[in-house]
Order: sequence, then structure tokens, then C-alpha cells
Amino acid sequence: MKRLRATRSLTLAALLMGCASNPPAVPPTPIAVAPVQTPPEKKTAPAPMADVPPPGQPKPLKPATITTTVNKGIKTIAIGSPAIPVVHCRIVVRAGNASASAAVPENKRAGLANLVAELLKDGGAGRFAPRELADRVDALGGDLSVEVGPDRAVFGLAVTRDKLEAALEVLGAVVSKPRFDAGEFNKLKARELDRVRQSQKGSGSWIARSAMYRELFGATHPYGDFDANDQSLEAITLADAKSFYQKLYVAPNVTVVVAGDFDEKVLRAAVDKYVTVPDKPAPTIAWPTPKSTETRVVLAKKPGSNQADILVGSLAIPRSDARWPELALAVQSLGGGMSARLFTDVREKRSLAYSTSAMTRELAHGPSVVALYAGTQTPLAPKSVGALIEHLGWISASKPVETGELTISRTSMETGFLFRLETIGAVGGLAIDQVILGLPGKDVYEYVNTYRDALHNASLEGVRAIAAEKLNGKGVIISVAGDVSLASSLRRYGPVRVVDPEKAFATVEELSYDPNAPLEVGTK
Amino acid sequence: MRARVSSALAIAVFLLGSLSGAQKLAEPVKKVATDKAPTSAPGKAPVPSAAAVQPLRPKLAIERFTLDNGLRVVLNPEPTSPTLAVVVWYDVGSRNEKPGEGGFAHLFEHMMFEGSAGVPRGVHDKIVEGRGGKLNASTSEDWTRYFELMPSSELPVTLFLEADRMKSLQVVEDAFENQRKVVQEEYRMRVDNAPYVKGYFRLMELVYEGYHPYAHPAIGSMAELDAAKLAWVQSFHKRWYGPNNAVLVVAGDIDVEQAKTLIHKYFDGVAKIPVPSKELPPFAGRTTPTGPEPVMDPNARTGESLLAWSIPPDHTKEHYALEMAAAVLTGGESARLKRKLVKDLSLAQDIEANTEDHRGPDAFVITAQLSDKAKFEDVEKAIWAEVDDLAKKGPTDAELRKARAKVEHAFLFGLQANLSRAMALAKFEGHNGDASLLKSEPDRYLEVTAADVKAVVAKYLVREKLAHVRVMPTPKPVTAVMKETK
Repeated sequence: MKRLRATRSLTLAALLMGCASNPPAVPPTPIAVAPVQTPPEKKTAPAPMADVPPPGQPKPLKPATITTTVNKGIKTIAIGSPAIPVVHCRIVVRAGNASASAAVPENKRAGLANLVAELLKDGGAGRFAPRELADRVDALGGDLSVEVGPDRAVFGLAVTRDKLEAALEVLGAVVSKPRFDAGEFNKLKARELDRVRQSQKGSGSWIARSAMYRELFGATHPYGDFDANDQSLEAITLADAKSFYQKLYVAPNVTVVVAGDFDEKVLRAAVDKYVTVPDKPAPTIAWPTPKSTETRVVLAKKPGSNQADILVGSLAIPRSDARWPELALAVQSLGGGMSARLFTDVREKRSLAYSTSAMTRELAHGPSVVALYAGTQTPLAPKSVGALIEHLGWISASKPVETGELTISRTSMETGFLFRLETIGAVGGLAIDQVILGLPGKDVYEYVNTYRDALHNASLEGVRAIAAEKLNGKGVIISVAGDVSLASSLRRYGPVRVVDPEKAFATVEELSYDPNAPLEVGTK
Repeated sequence: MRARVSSALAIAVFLLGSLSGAQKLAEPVKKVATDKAPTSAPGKAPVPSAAAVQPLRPKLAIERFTLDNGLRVVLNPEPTSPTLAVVVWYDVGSRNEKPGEGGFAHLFEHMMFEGSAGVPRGVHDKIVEGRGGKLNASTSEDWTRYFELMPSSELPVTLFLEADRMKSLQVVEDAFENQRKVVQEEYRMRVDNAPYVKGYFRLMELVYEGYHPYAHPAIGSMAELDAAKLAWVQSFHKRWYGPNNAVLVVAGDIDVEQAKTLIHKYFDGVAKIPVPSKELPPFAGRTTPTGPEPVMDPNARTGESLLAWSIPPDHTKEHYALEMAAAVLTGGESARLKRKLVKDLSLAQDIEANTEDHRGPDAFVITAQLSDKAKFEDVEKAIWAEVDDLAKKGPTDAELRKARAKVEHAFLFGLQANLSRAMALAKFEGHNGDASLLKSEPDRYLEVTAADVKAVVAKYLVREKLAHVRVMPTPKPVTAVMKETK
């Protein structure tokens, strides 16, 4: 359905990065409300600010029961809650986009992981021919979902308690016994090509993200491919898909996460019976350290567009770094919500964008990514880039995070976990993050509590220090999806490389840095 | 991360999505469907028999009351998580806009964050986020709603803030002009630079034949946004934003008596407003075919065929049958149109059939995004073959059984999160007059028979009343020097 429901603000995470790293959550600590301003003159009989109710005493979260077992090399995390007779079954495989280098040459990496995951879902498995598989899933009432990110492929099916075994039979077959039918592969590849070509032409946010990742990591790095491109997809063969599957879909890479109401014996027996990937070593993947660079601009052509999608991205610290909570708090203060700097200034004061934010993108290996986003009308794109860069300068040096901002960010992040753990399915989702990102703790709750403590104990000095080091605007990639008329004025921020997203982001023009380039668009 | 679910079920719309997570109590209910269920092959995982297993329903505790000033209140205690959702739903949407003022209900929604006499601009956001909460708002053709997600300890401040902006707004010129530009940026993002949206807008104009309430989009047009005036803000607030034109829902970890006390404390003092008549003018529905009308789209790479028919309003008996028809056509990977056009013939990248779910005259829409080399004629021929067959023979037992399974599933899984329940309850209280009707809503779908589906398809999804748009991809436009839009 393409109904257009106008909203005050987009879900920024969904727009920008997909599964963003929302701050882990925990039973929140009561923290005083942010300082408020003096109300203007009253025209009616309003409730004065003095009447704002004080913060309450938060209640603790009631944890579900979690057990973890390993059998035949496959880890199973069972998160039990009898509150409702439903169960969320997921199988997560360390076989995301960044894993393709383990199986194929560079020219075939982009899009392979997703193509394989979709083929597993649609191409028939075990005793299920493709039609039978679809019939079976629909008879269970649910939908078989596939999510592919840089570090993972997740297959999911949520059912009522009585259908647990049937659901695991389907998921197990999909992951363990794919048919790799050539006809289905060709059909699916054609659909993937259609999807990617549509994104290359029509999705500014997709184009800007793809270009940013290629520039940040380099086109040959495992994280260099945010998604597929049509040239890579064209090159991928059924043999490539099989090779990827055989190397990556092995027991050490597979975790079964089941959350909800279930009989644990039934669960164990079903996992043992139906999830039967071979227990052999996972391939070793090289994760080279990305090279740091000078600030530069990549302009991905979207001819005629009256709006530009802007990302200002940089490599930060690894997710495992002890300073991560400080970084997350700094990013939250910069652009993590409607009271953060970007929203209140870039949108609410300067009217440059409807959607603007800052966020982290957690990766399993090496440095994670920090990115600032703004979507703005084309003539204002150079000015908007300037605003984002200006904010980096402010938060890293001249206007560092203030105590009041830190208070809001800390409370928001600590409490945010309550919402991330509100439903049992969401608890399962966080367990997957913990597995894939290698987050500490014996289970989700221990991780959340530890992280919450770290957020709570983060000092203002620590937040300012990491902002000064990692949010200083130096060596950033300015990725803009927009009209080529922007090229000249964007030179004021760094050398500009114009690329064509419809030709695998090939370079079509390069312009030198000119700090005096005019802000007016199209001016030579 | 890209996330794709294999199919979306049109009938899940009433549940507002959210199929992730589960934590609410459920109880068996009377079984309605009686069709024979499939059995499992020997030695394979059992598929429970529909006849043997009673469907499960979320246990919805609902308490309703109305304040003296007319504010309808719905409380839904659910203590599983120490969180709550507050939704304030106003009975005003873009359907209430006059010609030339399109998009103002949504622009006004932005004004509700721009300051009141009691809470200055920007402070509402800071208070909510400073207490660990989240907030947003949205505007549809039929309603405008505001929500906060909060720790359950923060109910007092949430009610305080909502009551405060229901009482008064104090928006200054700068804030108004700022939000005008913000919304125009939203328009560029959601309309100008999104594929297939303008084709959909044109389809609505055609299917509603100039019937203003639903023929124009909730976001309005750039020209209408340009024409909006600050003076309209106060009059709009006085006209629509009173307690007797609103529903307040609190769902989650609450003490009911304490919540009642707080609601009285903060909302009793909000004065009633003279709500204008909201009765819609009559709409006869399309009586002649129109199209295919081409809509050029520089953001689209392949074509899209959009077919629409006018149908009865949401929550009518025929509407339920039409929603089940939509489920039979595209509700799941094995549904007719998905299987035929996407899987078997590779004519479409994706196809969806759904109802718009307007409380007034509604529309049934089929959208097929063409595959790279597919032809419109082939796609539409294949669609009509299935629609005609459904009109002639009705759904098979297996199809109806699957559609019913989807309904049960969507209902059980879709009401787990506090916000999902609060939004659904607000809509039922506002549109249907009783939030408690949500409990029995699945029964309306399960009561639909194969004959019902056959009858409504034959009656409504006919060539004689078709509105038809073809989105045609166009080459990228030539770059031109652009100037800032003031």
C-alpha cells in the first residue's frame, strides 16, 4: 500500500541505516527533567511550567527466562515467557553482505548474501517445493521473513505455541536443505536486479548510503558494499550462490533464537531434528583496517532531483571499545532525538530539512560508523552540508556537550531499552544483536544492565573527549545523492568525485577542492 | 539493514502492523471457522488442525468512560512491561479540509509541538525525551493522532502535556514559517522524490471523481502549503481540538484508579468546543470506467499498474468480505496474484491488493509493480483473469482457510506492543464509538464466507467501474539550475 500518512518526523533509524544501534536499555534511573524555559506571556489560563509533574520512580523490568545450549555446534538461545502463547523463531547466520569475500571474487560480492538468503526462502527446501513451502508458511498464518545486513542473515517465522515444531521444520529446511533450483535462481536474480535498479534510480537515501560505505571502507573492503549493484548481480551465478552457502552456512555461524511460550523439550528436539547444517569450521575472513583519509565529497548523480540526501560519515571506534557508551551519548546529544542539536537547529531553527539526525552503525569487525543525515531541497544542499559540518565542529570543540544535554541523552538511552524489550519478540531481536556484535554478558539482560551502568557512569569529560576525537569533522566522507548541478558548490568542502549509481558507482567526473566555491548551486 | 517480509496482509491494517514481539496474555475464544484443516505428512511436523485448536486472542482489559467535557477515555491496563503508551486521537483529518486548504490538518499537527501558553516551543520534546520517552504524531484522511511512549512512572507528565496543548496553542510567525518549510521538505521527500507516489495520488483523484474528502492527499500540495496562513492555526485549534472531539487512550502498565484520578486532574479543566458537523457529503461511487491514464514518473524505473474501485466504508459487512478478497489475492506468498504474477510468470516485482480503510466511502486498490520487460497489457490481463475467476467461483476452501489464519495471526501478534493497542483502541473508539469492539473484530472476518467474497468481488471489482492508472517511467530529466523555494 502506498498510502501517504504524513507524520511529524520520520523514524530516523529506518530512514538512515536500517537496524541502527539504539542505545541499549535498562531499568531507568530517575533523572531530573531538563531545564525548562520561562513561559511566554499567557493569553489563557495555562498550566504554568511550575506545574510540570516531577519525574516518577521507574519500575524494574521483569526479565524472561533465558537458557543457552550448544548441540552439534549450533547454539540455541531459548527465551521463555508464558505470558502469551506465541513464539518467535529466528535462525541467524553470520552470512551477511560482508561475508561474500569468503566465497567469490570482488566483482561478484555485492548482493550475493541477500540473493542467497532470498533463494533459500523462495527456492524450495528439503521436502518442500517452492509452492509447497509458500503454502505451508501461509497455512501457519505467519510470514517467512528474511533480513540481511552487513554481518548477518536472519530468517524468521512467528507462530502460535502449538505450531512451534511446524515453524522450526520450515525454518530448518530453509537454512539446512535448500534446493538451489536453477529456474528459481534465475527468476529471483531477475527480481533482485529490478529491485536494485529501482533503488539506483529512485532512492536518494539508498544511493547516499551506498556511496558513503564505498568511500569510507573502499570498494574492495568487506564493508564497502552496502547493498548490491546491477553489475555485480549480473555476474553472480548459481555456482557462486552454492559456494557462498556451503562455506558460510555452517554450525559455528548459526544460532537459533526462540522467544516466547514453548515447551523446552519440544524446542530442543525440533532444533536437533530440523536445523542440520554441517558442523565444520567457518571460513576465515580478512578484515583489513580501513585507511583514514582527508575529507572528501562523493556526489552520486540523481539528475533533476529537487531534493538531496546528505550523509556526513566517518569511521569511529569498534563496538567493543570501552569508550562506546561515551560515543553513543555524544551522538545522541548531537542528533539522537527531537530534543537533540540537529533536530532543534537544522530543522526547527534553520528550516533546512524535514529529516535530520545523527547515529551510529554498529559493525561486528573493526571500526563502526557514525553518520549525520539531512534531506534538503537541492538549492540548500551546500548550506546544509555546511550546517552538519558546523555541528561537528561545535560538539567536538567550541560548543561541547553540556550537562543538561547529557542528562537528557543518558535518560533517553537508558530508558530506551524498556521499549526495545517491551515484547518478547523484541528481546529475541536484541539477543541476535548480542550474538552478532559479540556484546558482553551471559544473556541479553546482563548485557543491558552492564551497558546501562556504563551509560549512567559516563562522565561529561569522557563524552566531550570522545566527541573531540571522533566527531571532529576531520577525514569525513560527505556523500550526497542529488543533482549534478551541486558538484561545483560542494567543492568548498573537499575534492568532489561525481559517480553514477546506475553504473556501479563508476566515477564520471572529479573536481578539485575549492574552499571559496560559492554556495549557490550551479554556479561555476 | 534491509528487511523484507515475504508478504503484507491487507487486513492487518486494522491492527497497525507491529508483528514483532509478544508478551500479552491471551485466551481461547469461540471458534468461528469450520473448514477442514490440512494434515501433516506422516513423520513430519504436525500442523494443528483448525477444527481441533481454538483460536487464541489477546486478553484485552478495557475500561471506558467519558468526562463531563466530552473527552472519551479508554484505559487498557497491561502490566507485563513497565511502560505505557498515551494516544490522543482527534476526529479531524484531511477529509475535513476545504478545497484550497489541502495539507493544513497535517501542517497544524506540526504546530502542536510549537508551543502553548504553558509550555514554550521545543520544551514538550525535551520533557518527554528527558523522562526517557519517545513521541510523534501523524495525520491521515480521517484522523490526527499524537502519542508518547513512556516509562510507566511518567504518566502524570504525559497527561499534563497533552492536556496543556489541548487547552491552548501559542504559535508565533517564525515557528509557523519554519514548519511550513519543514513540511514542504517532507513533501519533496515523500512525493517529489519517491517513486510511484504521484501515480497513486492520481488514482485517488480518479476513483473518487473529485469527491474532495478523499480525492486529495493528506499532505496537500506545494501550492496549498504556500497559501496556508498563521491566522488559520488558532481557528483550526478552536474548531477541532477540544475534548469533545478527541479520544484519550492509555495502554500499558497503569493502575486504573490512579490513572482516572490523573485524567480528571488534567483534563477536567479543558473546555468543550462547538464541534462542527462532520457529516460527509454523499458519494455515489464510480459508475463509469476511466483510464488507463498515464502518469509520468522520473523516479520509477519500471512501470506500475494501479487499479481501483470505490467500495463501501470500513467496518461494513461488505468491506470485511472485500478485505478477505484482498487477502486471497495477495495476502501471503501463496496468494493468487503473488503466485501467478510474481512467482510463476515473473510479470511483476510485487503486487498488493488492499482496501484504504476510510470511515467514509472507501476504495479497493491493486498495485502491480512491473518486472523489467513486462508489458502492461500482460500484467493487467493476468490480474483480470484471477479477479474474474474469484468473482465467478469464489475462493477455494484452502484459500479461505489461509486468509482466516492470517487474520488470527495478525490479531494475536499485532496487539502486543502498548502503542499498537493504544492506536487500535483509539481508532475503534473514535470511528466505531466503542473501543471494546476491537475484541471481537476478528470474528467479523472469520464470519465471511466464500459466497460473501464471491459476491463482493462480482459486485465491486468490475471493469465498468474501474479507475486505472499506469505509471510510466521516464528518462531522467535534464539538469537545470535550481533556485531555493521560498
